[in-house]
Amino acid sequence: MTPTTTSGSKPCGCPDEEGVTRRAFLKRSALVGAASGLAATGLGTRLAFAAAPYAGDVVVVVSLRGGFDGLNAVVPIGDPDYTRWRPTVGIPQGALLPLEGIFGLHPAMQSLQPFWDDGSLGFVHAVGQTNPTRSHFEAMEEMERAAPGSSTRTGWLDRTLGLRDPGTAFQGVQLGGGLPASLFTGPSPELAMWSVDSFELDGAWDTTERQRWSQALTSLHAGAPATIAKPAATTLGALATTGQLKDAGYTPENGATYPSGSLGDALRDIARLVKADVGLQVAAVDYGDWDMHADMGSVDEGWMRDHLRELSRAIAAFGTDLGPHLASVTLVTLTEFGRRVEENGSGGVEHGHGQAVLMLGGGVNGGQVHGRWPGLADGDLFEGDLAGTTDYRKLLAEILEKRCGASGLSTVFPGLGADRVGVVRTRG
Amino acid sequence: MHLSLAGHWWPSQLTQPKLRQLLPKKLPATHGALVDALSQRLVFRKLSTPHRRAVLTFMGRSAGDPLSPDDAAVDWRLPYIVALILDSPYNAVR
Repeated sequence: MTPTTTSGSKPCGCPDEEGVTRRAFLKRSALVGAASGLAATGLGTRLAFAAAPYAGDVVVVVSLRGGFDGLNAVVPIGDPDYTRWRPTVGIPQGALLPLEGIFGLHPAMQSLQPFWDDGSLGFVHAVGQTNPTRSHFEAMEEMERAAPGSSTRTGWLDRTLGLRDPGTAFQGVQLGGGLPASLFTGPSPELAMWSVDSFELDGAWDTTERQRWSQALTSLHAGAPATIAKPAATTLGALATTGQLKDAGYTPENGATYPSGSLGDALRDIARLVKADVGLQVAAVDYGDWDMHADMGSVDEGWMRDHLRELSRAIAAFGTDLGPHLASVTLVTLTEFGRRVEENGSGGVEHGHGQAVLMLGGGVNGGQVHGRWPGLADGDLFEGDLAGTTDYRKLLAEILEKRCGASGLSTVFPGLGADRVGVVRTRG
Repeated sequence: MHLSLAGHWWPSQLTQPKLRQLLPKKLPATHGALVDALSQRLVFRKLSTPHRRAVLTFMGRSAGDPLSPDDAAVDWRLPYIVALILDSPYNAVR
C-alpha cells in the first residue's frame, strides 16, 4: 500500500476508509434521527425498569482503533526474527523495559511499570479474531459484534448488560463521544456522552435553566406511553446526577495526573463515575489513530512513541486515581487487528492480524505476558502476520465469568469454548 | 437537535424561514393563546391543560398574561419554546 501522507496523524488511505466514513455517516444519521425526540441525545430509546444492585467489576474497554501495533509495544525482543523483520522501526533491546520471557516494554510505556510491578497490569500477546480481515471497518464491526459465524447483530457489551437485571441509567456508558460504539448495539440501554460536565440539556446554561427544562419536560412526559416516558425520565435522572457531579467538581486523587487529550479526559470521567457509585457496570472509550502505515517514528520520537506515551500515562493515571477502587475495575484494551510483522518501505507497518492486549485491574493476574507465542519465523506467520493464538473473546469471557459473576455466556459469545487463559482471578 | 434547528444555529447551511413565521401574522393576544397557536402549528393539536400549563411555567407566564411583540416568548425565548414542544411526546407520537 502506498501511504498518502507522510507525517503526523494522518488518514491511512485504506480502500475501506471512504466506505467507513460514508457508512458511519448513514448509521449515525439514523441514530441521531431516532434520538431527536428526546431532550438530550445519547440515550437509547429503550426501556429499563427497576434497578437491582450489580456486584461485579466495572469493565472498561479501551478501543485502540486503527490497528494497534502490539509488536512495537510489548516487544518480542527475544524472538530471533523480530529485528530481522523490523530493522529500522523495531525497538532496540537496550531501550526496552524488561517484562518476562522474550518480551520487553516500549520505554514510552514506563508510566505503567508500577502496575506491572504490583501485579495489577498484564498483557496478552498474539490475540486474534477467528475470521481475520484487513479491513478496518469489517474487523471493528466483527470485534464488537463478537459473534463470528452467527446471525447475532448486537454488540457484546449490550448482550452482557442483557444478562443482568436492568441497572441505572449509568449501567453502560460510552465516554468521549455523542454516540455509542457498536459494542453497545442492541436493546440494553446505555448512555453516550462527550464528558460528564458537558452532558446537559441543550439550552440549559445554568442551574435555573436546567431546572426550568427539567420541570417542563417532566410535566410534558407525564401520561405519555412508557416507551417514550421511561427513556425521558431516565435521561432526566441521569442529567440530574451529572449536574450534581458537575457542581461538586472533581479532583483526581493519590497524585494522579491525567495527560491532556480525549483519552485522559474520558478515563478521568470513568474514575469519577466509579467513585460516585452511580451504577456503572461497563464503560467504553475510544483512543484511535493507530493506523501507522508510514512514519511511525523511532523509539525516541514520533507518532508511535507519542501515542504509546499518552495511552500509558492515561491508564496509569486512571489506576492511580482509582486507588482502592481499582480492586473492582478491570480495564482491557482491544484493537481490530495488529500490524504486519515486516516493516514497509515508508517507515511504517501495514494491517496485520495478531494483536497485543493490555489489562489493568485489581483482579488481573498481572506481571505476566499471557498467551501462546507463535513465533516470527517465516513458517510461523499467518499470511505474513503474527498468528492469533488466543481468541480475544476468551479474555472477555473470563473477565465476565470471574470478575462480573456472569455464567452461561453462550448468548454473549456464541460458539466460544469453555477453555480460558487465566488472565484474571475470581472475584472474592 | 430541535433547539439547534429552531435557533437556526445548526446546520448553518440550512435555509429556513424565520421562526416568527410559525406564528399568525396577528400575534395571539395572550401567552396562553401563543402556546395554543404554536402547538397547533408544530404538532397539529392543542396541548392538554396540564401540559399547556407546563409550557407556560417554562415561559414564566400565566395563560392570561397579555402578549406584546417585544415579549421574550416571541423574541429570544421563542426557539426554546419551539424546541420544548418538539421535545415533548406530542411530537413523538403525532
